[in-house]
Amino acid sequence: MQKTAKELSQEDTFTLLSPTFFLVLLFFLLPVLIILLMSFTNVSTDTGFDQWRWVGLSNYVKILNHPATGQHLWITLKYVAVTLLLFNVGLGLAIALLTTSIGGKTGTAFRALWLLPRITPSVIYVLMWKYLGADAPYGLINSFLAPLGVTPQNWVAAQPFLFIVLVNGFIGASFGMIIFTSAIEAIPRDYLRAAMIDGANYFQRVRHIILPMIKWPLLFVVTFQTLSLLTSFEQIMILNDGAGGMEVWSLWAYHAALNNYYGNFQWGFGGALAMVLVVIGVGFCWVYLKFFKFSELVSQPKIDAL
Amino acid sequence: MPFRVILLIVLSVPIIVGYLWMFISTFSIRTHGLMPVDSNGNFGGLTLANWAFLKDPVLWQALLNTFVLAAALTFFTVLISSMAGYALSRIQFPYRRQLLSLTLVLHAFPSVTLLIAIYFVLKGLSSSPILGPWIGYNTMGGVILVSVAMQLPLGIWLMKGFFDGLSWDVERSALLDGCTRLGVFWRIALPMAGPGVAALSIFSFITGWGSFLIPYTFMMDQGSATLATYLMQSMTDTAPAAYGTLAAIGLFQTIPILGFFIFTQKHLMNIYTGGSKGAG
Amino acid sequence: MRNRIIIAAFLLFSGSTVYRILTGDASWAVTTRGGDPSQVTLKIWAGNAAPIDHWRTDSAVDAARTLNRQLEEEGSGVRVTIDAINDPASWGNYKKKFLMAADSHLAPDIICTGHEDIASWASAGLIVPLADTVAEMRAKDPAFADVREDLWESTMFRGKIWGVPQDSEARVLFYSKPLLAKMGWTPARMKTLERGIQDGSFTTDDMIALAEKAVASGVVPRGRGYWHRPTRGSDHIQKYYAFGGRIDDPETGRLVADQQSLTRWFTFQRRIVDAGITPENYLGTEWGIWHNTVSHGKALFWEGGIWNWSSWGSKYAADLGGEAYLHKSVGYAMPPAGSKGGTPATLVHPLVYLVPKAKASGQMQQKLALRLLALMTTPEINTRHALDSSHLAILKSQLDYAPYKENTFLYGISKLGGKSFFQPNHVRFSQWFDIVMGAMEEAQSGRRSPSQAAADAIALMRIDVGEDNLVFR
Repeated sequence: MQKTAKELSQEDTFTLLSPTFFLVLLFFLLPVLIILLMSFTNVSTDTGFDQWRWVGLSNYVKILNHPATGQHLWITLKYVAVTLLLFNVGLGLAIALLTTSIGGKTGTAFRALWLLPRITPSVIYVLMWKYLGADAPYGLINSFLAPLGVTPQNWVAAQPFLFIVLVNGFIGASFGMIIFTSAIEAIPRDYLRAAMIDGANYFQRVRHIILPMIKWPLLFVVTFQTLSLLTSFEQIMILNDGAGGMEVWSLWAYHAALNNYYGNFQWGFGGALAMVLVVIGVGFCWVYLKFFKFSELVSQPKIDAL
Repeated sequence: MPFRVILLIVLSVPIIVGYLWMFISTFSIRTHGLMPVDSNGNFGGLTLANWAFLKDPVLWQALLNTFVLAAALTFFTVLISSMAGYALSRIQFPYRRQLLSLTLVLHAFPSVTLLIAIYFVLKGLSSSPILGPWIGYNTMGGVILVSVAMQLPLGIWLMKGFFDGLSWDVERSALLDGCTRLGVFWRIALPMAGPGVAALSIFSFITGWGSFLIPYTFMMDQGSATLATYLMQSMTDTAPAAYGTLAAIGLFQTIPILGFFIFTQKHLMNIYTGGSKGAG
Repeated sequence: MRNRIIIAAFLLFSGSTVYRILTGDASWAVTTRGGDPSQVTLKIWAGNAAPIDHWRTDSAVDAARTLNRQLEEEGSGVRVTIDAINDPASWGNYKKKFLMAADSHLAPDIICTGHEDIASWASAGLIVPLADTVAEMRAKDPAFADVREDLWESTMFRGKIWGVPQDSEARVLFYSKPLLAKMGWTPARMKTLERGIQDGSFTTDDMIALAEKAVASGVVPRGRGYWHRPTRGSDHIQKYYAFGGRIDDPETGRLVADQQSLTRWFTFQRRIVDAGITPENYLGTEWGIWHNTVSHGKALFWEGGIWNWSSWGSKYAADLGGEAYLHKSVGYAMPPAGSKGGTPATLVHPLVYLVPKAKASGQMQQKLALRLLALMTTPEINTRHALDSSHLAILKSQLDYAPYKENTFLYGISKLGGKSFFQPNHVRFSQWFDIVMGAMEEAQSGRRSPSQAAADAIALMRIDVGEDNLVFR
């Protein structure tokens, strides 16, 4: 019997999506469920995986009562907001605009340069920043500042927030840079040519043509990178391990659950911390999806309107 | 024009100076600022010793392992993401919007905190029928599966955005000619998505090339160590290598990716044609 | 149709996997690796291991040769081969990996780690106790009788012995001989420094005063009078100890929350900055800078682990003349006491070999593993590790063993005297440690006053360590 086009379409859809379903179920949904369950237990290295017990909401109560909770939350939000706006979106966009307007090999060379922080092993990339900011005679920043009469010091420790933003920002900028660059390159040349004939200067072209046309990539980068920054801690961990009040939430979870100095990992408490982070992340997603009207982006699949 | 170049150079100063320092330090015993110095603080102390690791056979084994992992990760990420991205872009099905939102939300889950939970899943997979010995805990297959899953939020959104921007006239005529959806995806859409594939490949390859925690934690065999593990040898608590050596290993690691990036740069230009939505 | 089959297979597969995860599975059983019972493989892991630490596992290979010879003499058909992994990953990642391996019955037969893991791994039932008392342990094998008496304390938990010491070290006060000479000190007077510290007449106050004088007189620039460890770490606990602080209370077995001692310690950390002998914003200084500065004699005093000696000789001061230069220009003594008449003390953090249970390793080879460990505990084997990686002897006989004795630095440290102490084997020690380190950083940077930082630390201890695990002083 001949199948209808609709039936065929459903089966094809399933085939196309089944690997994704499979991986998402196994490596996102199930683990999150496990972490959620763990967050109601006291499971830790010393209980092992067979002597733990249920402790109800006490891990969450502990977060509420913890003297450091407010500080961790505040530094997390501040770090995400500043890094996102200045670097991941702001600088990423600036580099994309500048390199595309220059174009050619020079543009490519600058983009390759900006990719370096992303592809260098974090340990070495962070080491580079430590030496930029190091005390005299090692540090480069001091050798520029010394002639101005600034007393040399270890700037990484003196300005911890500035450095966690710089270190993460220079990595983050390249994500936006790559996505914006391709979006800009995809704008039909006629539009820009027409604007130039109308006498629009570069800034007017950016303002009135380029920015409106890369709206979706912009919103995507904002959303995606908010989540990336919320869950990122590796660079901060290597730079100063959260010293100077720089322990962001994900680093706190990491320290509690996975990596404290002498190895008694608190999976239960860490799980609760991770769940809070997930809730914050989902909250951001919800706001963005609503506020940016993502529903428009996902509205109508073109080809179904055969 | 020159103004824009100057502005770019100014913005790039930290990177230019930082990597210049890194490059110089790979040939130095120690540096003061950008100057290689001897033990008295005078110019000198140049050495090739920091690059001696190139003679270590373990490095080349690690390089091979890393390449296999990165290549497999890239292949499966691109394949699975583009399948899902294509379906999400082209086909109307129930809960489509929810699924798309879900893939974004997935990115909010900090993969490191999930590590222990993922272990339990892999352990469960180990004892599953037939496939168990290939995809469970302590297998390369399991490591690749987990790594691919972590790339899906980015991959699906990138590929969906890319398919959205592709003209569908060709696909439509193929469908009208009686081609199946799968056939259209495989023979028409995917080849047209070449640049998108290239972009996602870059991101996946970078991730695979630098991956440490997942392969390290979920595989016992030391012969399967990646480059990142190799680097760790030089930075243990009690006997850390001098930073010149670390910098040399680090720079060495970036070279293949830089090459890959420059090679694919031409394709990369067109990755996110989602930007032309409503214009085409 | 094709797709229906895919769907069915997919659902079946996912379903069975999910089922297995949720129910746990009993299909794991203790198995012997390989089919031939006469061929036994012993797996051994060592963590955070640099290439120079390779003896931690490679000595097992040597010892296995002896073991096989003995087995042959006994007429046993069993032969042992060693599967050794010298793992360079950080301690945290190494310990995670072990926990998961142990849960899957894939843990090694012997694992080398810091002694503090005994507390949580024994509680979790992952390792076997080796003996009830030190006497029982000593009676097991002459090799164990040779182990330094004090080291067994670091392997005790809940009244049992759980591990065999692998190495030990000390954290000492180093000083630059040329800089002291510039201040008019003769070599003879430098010797009195060592004695003064030993009898408690030269204290941290005297050290600070001397360093201040060096800065004032221009012998060293400001901030180069005294450099402690530039990052978090056990080294700092020595100062807490020097000012009367204790980590655990032997009577109750609980950890100590001692606001006064913490305040005294934190006051010291800030005082050295205010005095200008340690730089402002010093914590977080990159290790390479630290090594280059101290090993070149550019600071008057510095405190650190003796294991650094080999890196200074082979790397940082290599172009100055390596170890010969170090012997000429670097002096060392115990870290001074905090008050007059006090005893100087150094924190020792031994690595130990532990033997995982059958449930963790999937093997019934614990007896054989212990036998191998005894064969690894010899002066020859341990001295090789000590010399290569600049660690202290763990055996009494090593002090009479020529190759060890000829190493002036290690032998000199072994003979320094003073008191050594360990961090406790307590399940909540990791939390206690992280809290005091964080508070110390706040106090030294001046973001919190010493007494505020101490109060913060106590408040955090109540939550993260738990009041049931604390005694308040």
